[in-house]
Amino acid sequence: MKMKSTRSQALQARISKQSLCLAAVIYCLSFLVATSKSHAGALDTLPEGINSPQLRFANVEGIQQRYDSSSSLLTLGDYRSVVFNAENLSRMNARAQNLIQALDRFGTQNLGSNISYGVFKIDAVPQVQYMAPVYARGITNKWTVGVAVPMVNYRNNINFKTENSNLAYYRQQLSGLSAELDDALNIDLAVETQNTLAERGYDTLGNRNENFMGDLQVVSMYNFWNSRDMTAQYQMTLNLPTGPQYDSDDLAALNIFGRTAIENKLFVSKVLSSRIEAVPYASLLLNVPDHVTARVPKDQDDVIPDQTTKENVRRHVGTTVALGGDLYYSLSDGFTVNGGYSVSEKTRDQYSGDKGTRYDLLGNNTNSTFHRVNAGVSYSSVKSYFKKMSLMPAVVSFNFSDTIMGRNVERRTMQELNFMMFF
Amino acid sequence: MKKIFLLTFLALAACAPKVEDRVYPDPKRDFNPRLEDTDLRSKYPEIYLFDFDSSTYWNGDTKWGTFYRQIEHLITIGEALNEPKIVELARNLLEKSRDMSKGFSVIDLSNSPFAELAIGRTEVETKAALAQASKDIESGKVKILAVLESISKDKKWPTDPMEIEKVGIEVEKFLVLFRDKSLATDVFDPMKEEIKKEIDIQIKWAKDVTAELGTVSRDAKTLDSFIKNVNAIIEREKFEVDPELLQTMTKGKVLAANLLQCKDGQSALRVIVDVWGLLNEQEREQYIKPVNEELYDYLKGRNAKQLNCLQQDNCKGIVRDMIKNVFILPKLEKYGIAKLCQEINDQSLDFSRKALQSAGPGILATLPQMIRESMEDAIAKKSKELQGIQADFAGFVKTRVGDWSKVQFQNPLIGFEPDRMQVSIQKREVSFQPSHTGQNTSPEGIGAGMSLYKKIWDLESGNTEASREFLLRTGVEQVNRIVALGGYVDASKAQVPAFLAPMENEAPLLDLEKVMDTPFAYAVPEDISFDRMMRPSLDRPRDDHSRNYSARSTAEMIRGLSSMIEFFQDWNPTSYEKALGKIQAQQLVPDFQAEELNTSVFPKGDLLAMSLAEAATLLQNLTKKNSQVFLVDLQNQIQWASDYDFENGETAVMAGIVDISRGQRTKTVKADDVARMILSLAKFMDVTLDIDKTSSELLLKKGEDGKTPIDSLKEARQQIKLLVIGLTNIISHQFVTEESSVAKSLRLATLDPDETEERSILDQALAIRAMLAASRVTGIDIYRLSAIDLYYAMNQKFYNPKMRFYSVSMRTETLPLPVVLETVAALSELKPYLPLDSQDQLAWVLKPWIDGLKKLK
Repeated sequence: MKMKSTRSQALQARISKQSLCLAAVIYCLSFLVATSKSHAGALDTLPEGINSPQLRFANVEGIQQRYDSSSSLLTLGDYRSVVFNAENLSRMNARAQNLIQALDRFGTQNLGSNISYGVFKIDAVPQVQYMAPVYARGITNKWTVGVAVPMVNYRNNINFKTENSNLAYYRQQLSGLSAELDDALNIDLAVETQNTLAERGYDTLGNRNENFMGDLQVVSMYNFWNSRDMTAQYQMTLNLPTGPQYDSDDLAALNIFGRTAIENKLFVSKVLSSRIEAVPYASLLLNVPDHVTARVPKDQDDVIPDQTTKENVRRHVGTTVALGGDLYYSLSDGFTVNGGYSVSEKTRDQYSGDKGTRYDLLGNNTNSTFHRVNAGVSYSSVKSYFKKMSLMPAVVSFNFSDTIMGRNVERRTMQELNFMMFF
Repeated sequence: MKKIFLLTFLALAACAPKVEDRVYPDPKRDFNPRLEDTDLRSKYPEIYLFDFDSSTYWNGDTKWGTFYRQIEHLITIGEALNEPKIVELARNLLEKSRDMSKGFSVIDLSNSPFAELAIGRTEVETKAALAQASKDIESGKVKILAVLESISKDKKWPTDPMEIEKVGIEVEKFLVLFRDKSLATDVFDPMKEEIKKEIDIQIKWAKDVTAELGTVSRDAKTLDSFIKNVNAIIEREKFEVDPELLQTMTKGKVLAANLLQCKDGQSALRVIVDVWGLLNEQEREQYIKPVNEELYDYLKGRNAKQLNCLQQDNCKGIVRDMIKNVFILPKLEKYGIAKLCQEINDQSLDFSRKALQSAGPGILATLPQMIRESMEDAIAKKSKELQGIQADFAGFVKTRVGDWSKVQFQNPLIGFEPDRMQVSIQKREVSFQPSHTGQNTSPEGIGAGMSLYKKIWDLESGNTEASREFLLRTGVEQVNRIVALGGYVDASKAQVPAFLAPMENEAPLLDLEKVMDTPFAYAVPEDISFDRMMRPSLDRPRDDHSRNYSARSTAEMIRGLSSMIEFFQDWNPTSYEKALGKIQAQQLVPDFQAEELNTSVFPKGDLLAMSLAEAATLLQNLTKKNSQVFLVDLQNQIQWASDYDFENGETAVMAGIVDISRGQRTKTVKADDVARMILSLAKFMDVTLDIDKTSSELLLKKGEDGKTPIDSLKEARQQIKLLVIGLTNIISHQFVTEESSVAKSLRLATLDPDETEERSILDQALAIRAMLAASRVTGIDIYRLSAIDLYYAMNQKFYNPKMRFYSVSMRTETLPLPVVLETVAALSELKPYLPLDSQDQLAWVLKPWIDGLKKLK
């Protein structure tokens, strides 16, 4: 009837997944230079010799919600909840099974099979903000190169909550029969979770508020075709692993930095009228395989692997393909509004190693699909500057984006403020 | 432009995903029966009803245990359904069964186990106390007499004649002084009390007698009345009168009689001669000479014969006649006969008064000696009495107990009932016959009897018209059984073996005071024989059929002893107070007045401890060698409780109990045994719930480990609770078949129901009662719900409309009355826990059977 480790295992499995989910949420940061276009001509590159320092502020919210594998949008609390009913408990641990079998022998009411420790929820409210200084320079009139160093602030309020349990009835009926049974019926799942994490060498789960440098990004934008009303641009982003490395002991770690990836993106800009411009695009994000120290589950039920499962594994984060488009509407020489839609598909992460263990389990629920919409408004003083109507050429833009549909991905609602100068 | 913004926001709003609330399965928080009750009246709109007589029978050989349980069931049913007629039936049947001649062993209380135990337990202590008392009395006597000597020496007694009342006052003063001085000495307290009591009596007596004498003396008008009254007092108070005074008094009586006849000269002369005889020379000269000198001179010269002759009319003599007729009588007549007689009366009365007053100083002078003699006599008498008791303490107690018993009981007490009896019901009249006259009994009968009588006592003690004799008699009978069960050292200091006999030959006989420490098991074997003193014929079972211990008997013994524990709860007023509580040792020895005797003959706390120790003996057996109990782990592996590691063993979730036949455990587990064991353990748990409130010295005495028996019992209660759970689990889980009915037995090897045995309604009923009891003592409602499920299953599958009762086989059959009673009792207990509709239906089911029971005689 010793149940402590059993329940904690299941809980921690969910927590483990949580960190992975957060990783996907923050993934958007890797495009911070490339995708945050502000209209000046949507695919304009910097003129040769022109420098453009930029400062970007972004706030990513809504990542406490997630589209599950059936595309239902759930709060993270619900998504990560574990229903500790007899069926689940039986699967988790032989001792739990014993408890249930023992209780089933009490009378004819299947007391054991009806036990429920309730729904254990981990209510996490993650929030990411970043401030990214960007520097771009026009190498030629068609080719611009930029570099971005994101400074990330990661906050997360983590609360444990248990509800919908019928243990009160069991306690009222069975308390005092044996110390072992009393222990089993009086478990504080939150405490047990932390205890089990500590036993297995994990960091204590708690609220976060930390700042760090993300992965450095180098972006190259090249307009390879121009006509009067159409422009085509190839954009390549190189993500360099300057951010925090993968941490297998921290279940709340973002674990999305420290990667090397290349994204190739092809934009086409079509001027539809004097005010309207359409920009469809396609992208392919390729991650460079690397090696990380991960805890490889022993089996499907080993949801919180202990320290002995730590292993240096080869990781190949899945490839993401995206298709999308934006429509820009110029309200005036300075003001432009835009809206867009994109759909992305990410393949499953692949893990491999030398010990022949269940590396496949590390990649569970890492293939995802997400549909995002975005809208923005920008003000550019470039034209007015040339008309001598403003002091300096600059662009200020605000963008809002949200995931409206998806699978195995967090919803993320992002507000971004971008300030660009030119000289 | 605004439209564009608006459309954009509307589009975004439309696209905004909605968070879905995850729906979680709602766990069961309120458990209910799995089955639903069957509407029997709708299902069987037309039913046929067997006549009660055709539906039940109870004829032939039956065990006394079974009989006692049925009586108890009748009371349970009667009380549960508020049917006083059924309770009355139970009472009558029990009384009828006690009338059965030659069925029971009988015993005199003076030779009963209780008397023997009381003698054995108190003899040494009492003798020692008596010996000490004798010594103390002797030593006290010396001290008290020294006090008497001391105050006598210093006392100045008056020497002049005094009013007799003043004599009384002097006596009182002396006695008070003596009393107070005596009480100030260091004689032992009982003697002081005795002295005080005795002297106070004497003071009062002295005052009363002297006052009365004074009154008599003052009020007397004639010598005759004076002497008669004084004489009456002397005779009444048995005064010892010295011979001289006695002679004087005799003469005085004659004088008084003659004075009454003093009417003429001759009668006056007779009186004068009487007076002459009473007086000495000096007094004669003082009183007679002045009145008639010639007479004085004449009488002075006469001897006794001559004086006597003068008193006679017919004593002739010439000279004497002449003198008498010439000189004496005329003078007397001349003086006046009446005057003369009156004067003589007055003088003699005055003389007597003075004599009484003169006696005062003499009485006072001899008072210390009188007191001394009186004390020595009393002390000698007391010492002799005490020595007599010391010499034959057993005889003394037995005589007193026997005398008391004869007053209390018209007939001898019942010892044990035999194992079996013959019962029959004809024309609704229940009758009994003894099966045999042998001296055998069974633990099942003993246990069931104890339980039944407890119930009866509770009934009777609430009845103001209850027979005090019945309560006392049956109470004493059960006390004898308790004593016999545990064994004792008798009056001859021999160890009388307990009915709780060792289960192993190498084990010593049971010592109840070491029950908690002994590693051996003790139990009452089946069919145990006993002698006319209620002693087991063998001190331990032999390697033959006598090594049989049935689970049912074990259960019934525990149940019975639990009832006794309840009866003797010393923290609660119980029916004991009416049955036995008022009998005090003082009533047995009314001639010995002592504070120590104001204690109960049947001490509640001691009998509680004894009952508890015997129940504990049986309960401890469950974990000792030859244990009848087995435990079942989660893999359905069986382990005997004697082999189970209670600290680190595999979690056991079920338990069962089997018989021991010829020293071997049987291979099957019977549902009714398990159920009865649950009922017994539940009863034990109920009655020991507040055991720490006891003030029994035996139970509060710390052992070598610093623990009291109560401490051990409280720890054991937890284990017993777990055993109740284990037993209830096996009956509610392993015994319950797919049809939701209880199988008759399980094969021990596989714990599978034995399908070859037909299930019975009795087992369903017992299981229901057992689950209700388990639910009560463990607080686990599930067992109550399981009991309800069993009942619903009975309605669903076993209700036979032709019998209007339950039949597992669904054959229309005649059921034994015990099965009917057990079922009705179980369902009556269950009824309050059912929904109202089901209660209503159950009342309908039971009604014809209740009506039938009410008609039994």
